[in-house]
Formats: sequence, C-alpha cells, structure tokens
Amino acid sequence: MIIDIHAHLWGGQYAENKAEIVRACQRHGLTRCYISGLGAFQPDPEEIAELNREVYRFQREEPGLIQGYAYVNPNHGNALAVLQRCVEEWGMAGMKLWVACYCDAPQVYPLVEQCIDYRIPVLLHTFHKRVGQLPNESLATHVARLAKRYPEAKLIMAHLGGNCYHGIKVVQAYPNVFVDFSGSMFRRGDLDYACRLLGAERILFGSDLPVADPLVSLGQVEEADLMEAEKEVILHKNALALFARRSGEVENEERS
Amino acid sequence: MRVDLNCLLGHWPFRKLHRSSFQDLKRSHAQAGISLGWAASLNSIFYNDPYEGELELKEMIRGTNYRHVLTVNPTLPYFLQDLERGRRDLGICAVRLYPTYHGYSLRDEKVHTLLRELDRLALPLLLTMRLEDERLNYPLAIEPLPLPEIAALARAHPRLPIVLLSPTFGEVIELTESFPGGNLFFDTSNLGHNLFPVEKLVAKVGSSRLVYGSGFPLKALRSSILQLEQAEIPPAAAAQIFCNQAVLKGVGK
Repeated sequence: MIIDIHAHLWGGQYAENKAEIVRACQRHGLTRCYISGLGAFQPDPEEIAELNREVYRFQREEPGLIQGYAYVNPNHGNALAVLQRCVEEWGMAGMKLWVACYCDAPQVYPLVEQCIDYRIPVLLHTFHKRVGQLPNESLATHVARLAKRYPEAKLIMAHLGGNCYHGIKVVQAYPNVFVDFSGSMFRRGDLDYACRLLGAERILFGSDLPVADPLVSLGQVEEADLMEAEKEVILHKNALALFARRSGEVENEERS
Repeated sequence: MRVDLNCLLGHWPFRKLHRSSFQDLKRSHAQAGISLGWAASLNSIFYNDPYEGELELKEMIRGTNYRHVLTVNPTLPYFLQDLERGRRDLGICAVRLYPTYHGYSLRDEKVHTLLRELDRLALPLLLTMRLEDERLNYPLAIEPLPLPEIAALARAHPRLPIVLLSPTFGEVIELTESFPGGNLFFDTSNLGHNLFPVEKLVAKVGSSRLVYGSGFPLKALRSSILQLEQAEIPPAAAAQIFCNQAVLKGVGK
C-alpha cells in the first residue's frame, strides 16, 4: 500500500490533471492520493472557491482513491468559513497552506485552532531555496514557531523544508511536525538524513503529482538504508495514523 | 545490455554521501541489471590538479570492466597534456566538463580547441548541466548551463557526440526544438519534473537521443531505473536508451 499525501490539481487543468493522476496511481501502485488545488500565489476568494470545488469534484468522481485538502488563503476574511465548508460539508481530510502568507502569521491561528478541533493535519508548503525564494514562502523556522504555539496541531512540513539540511534540525524538537519528501529535486541521502534525525515515524510519502514523477520519491524509499518496516510506515502507515480522526480508524483502513 | 554513463566516485564536499564507494556502485548496478559504468571522479572537479583525482579513479576501478571518464578543466594551461596522458595511460572512453563549477563559458576558444581534439580522437563529450538542483545548493550558488551556448557548441562540432548530463525534461524539449541536430544527446538522471517523462520524451525526441545515466551517488539510482522500467515504450527503445550505440560506440555489440 502506498499513500501519497502531497498532490495537486492546478487551476483550469482539471481534465488533464485528473487523467494523469489517476493513470499514475494505477500504474505506480498508489492506493490513495491527498490532493489540494493550487493556482496563483495570492489567490482571490473566487479562485479559492473554484479550486476547492474541483478538488471536491475529484473526490466524488474517484471515491477511495482521492481525498481532498481544504485550500485556504488566510488573508481572506472568509478563510475560516471556507475551511469549515470543505471539512464539514465536503468531507475533506486536511488543510493546505501555500505562499499567501508565512505559516506562523497571526491570521493562520484561528485556522490551525479549527484543524485541532477537527483533528485533521495541516500541510504547510515549506521551502528553503538557494535561488528563487518566493515572498511569504515559509521556512522551517516558521513551521517551528507554529508547532511551538500549537503542540496539539498535526503539522506536515512539505518538501523536507526544501534543503533538508536547513530544515530538519529546526523542527526536530517538535514531535507534532511531520515531513514529506514530495518534489523532484531530492538527492540520494536526503531521506536517510531525515530518518536519522526525526525517525521514520515522522516521515510521509509524497510526490507533488502531477508536476513531479512519484517514481523519484519511490526510488528514494527503495534505495534508502532503512528496514522494511520503516519503509512501510513511510509509504502508508504514518499517513493512516495522521489522517485518522477517530480511534479504530487506522485498523479499519488497514483491514480494508 | 545496460550501461550507466553518468556515475561518479569520490568525495563530495557539500554533504555526507551515503553508500558511495565503488563497491556500493557495483552492488547498485548489479541490482539494476547494469553491467557497465562510465565512471568519473568527483575529486577531480575540485582538486587544483584534476589529474591527481584521475589517478585515484584509476586505482578504484582497476581490474574491472568499468570505463574511465576523464574530467577536464580547459582553463588550466596543461589540459591538452592531461588529455593525452589520459588517453595513453588511463584508456579513457570520454571526457567530462563542468563549466559552471570551473567558471568558463562554452564560447571560450579553449573549449573549442578541446572539442576539435576530441573529434580527432573520436572521444565523446559529457557535458554537465548541473550536479544538484540549483535550489538546494549550499554554500556555492551554481547556475545551470545556458541553453543557447549548448546548442551553439553542438552546432559548431557536428561530428562530435555531446551528451548533456542531468538536463530537466523541459530543457531537453527546448534544446531539441532549437537544435534538432543529431549529435546532441541527453541522459536520464534528472527527469523527475514531469509525469511519465521517458515515454513523453521518446514520443517527442525519439529514443535515439536519450542515454541512461544515474547520477550516482548524488541521485538515487533506483529512481531513474524505475522511470525507465515503468515507461510504456517499445522494448527496443528501452534497449537503445540503456545502450545507445551512437554514444557508446560498440559497447555490448
């Protein structure tokens, strides 16, 4: 079983993205994919609404395979209402933040508090870059501050924080921070380094579909110096546990 | 037969490498069904006298069928002497350049001097686009090679096989559109920025322009193997990529 916790629908490309994601899941053995919509760096409320509608549509059209994240722009006055609708009416499984603001900005607090109440994880785009850093693009230091403020929140620092040697140590002390290694840029050894510092139980499989090939991430797991049991927790068991909202859910999922 | 024409041995100054010895390379190759590697020295990139790294590499691969790729920095005044020594004493199969690490342009006349010599000696050129993703560089900021310079170089030396190492999917497409000439090839070590990249490239540019390279030990060899093995392409196309005779010249025949 492989669960991909980091994939996207890009605005205006529903049919192409859906076809490629489904095909990739079938061909590469991905049993579930957690999807968020993305588009402009600073999406307006209409774009956010459309992206979430598309994710909801994908969920309905591919039940079991696709689960959605509520994508919110914390700068919008209706951000909390967007989150509530996505989770309560549309059954989405987590919240996604991208680059509208740093993830520890005060406008994020009520959203994270709501996610704690829902017991759902928050996927935080995090990327330390040598070149091309975007405005408001969160770093591991932002994630660590959020984790310190909300130790009950289930936070996922995406992309190993970008350059993992800048990101992993910063969140090491916060057990409520998990990481994914989605993206095409990772090097041999990055996953080993993350495992050594965090332990396999804090690492989640992600791909960044459809703009990256999941075989890059899969090859890294296969080649890492890990026990088979550690590879299993990375490939699916951690995701089952993290996205479970009620006791007994993990066991039911594993049985099914 | 499977050949890996982009593997490296030695030390990498920017981070600790995992399982990077020659034994590790041979084990990874054996697991992937690769029977031959074209190995270059990581040390030679950074040594003041790169030939010292070449002598280390010679010792590492001594007694095996691995082929020696010579690292050349054409800004050094003795690069042609090193090339001659490499050809005579090391039995080199190709020359590899790192222009963005060594700080020169492909327009430099010394580069053309080197390429004329390679053409005369019938040695292919391996041209390093990048070693790691630019976003992850630390502490040096290494830029990728400018695409127009690559196309101009290939155009100026039409008989010489030039293999661009670690281009992205988009760069391969852009280069083949701007320079359709048949002497420019691309390795497969950095095709993660697209879904189903190998079959899309085979459809767009043809398998004859692709060559398997892993980027070991900086990249996960298993990733590039999975990309080729799971690509829905004709077996003959996969076989050509794994052992491209236009570059490898007689290997496996």
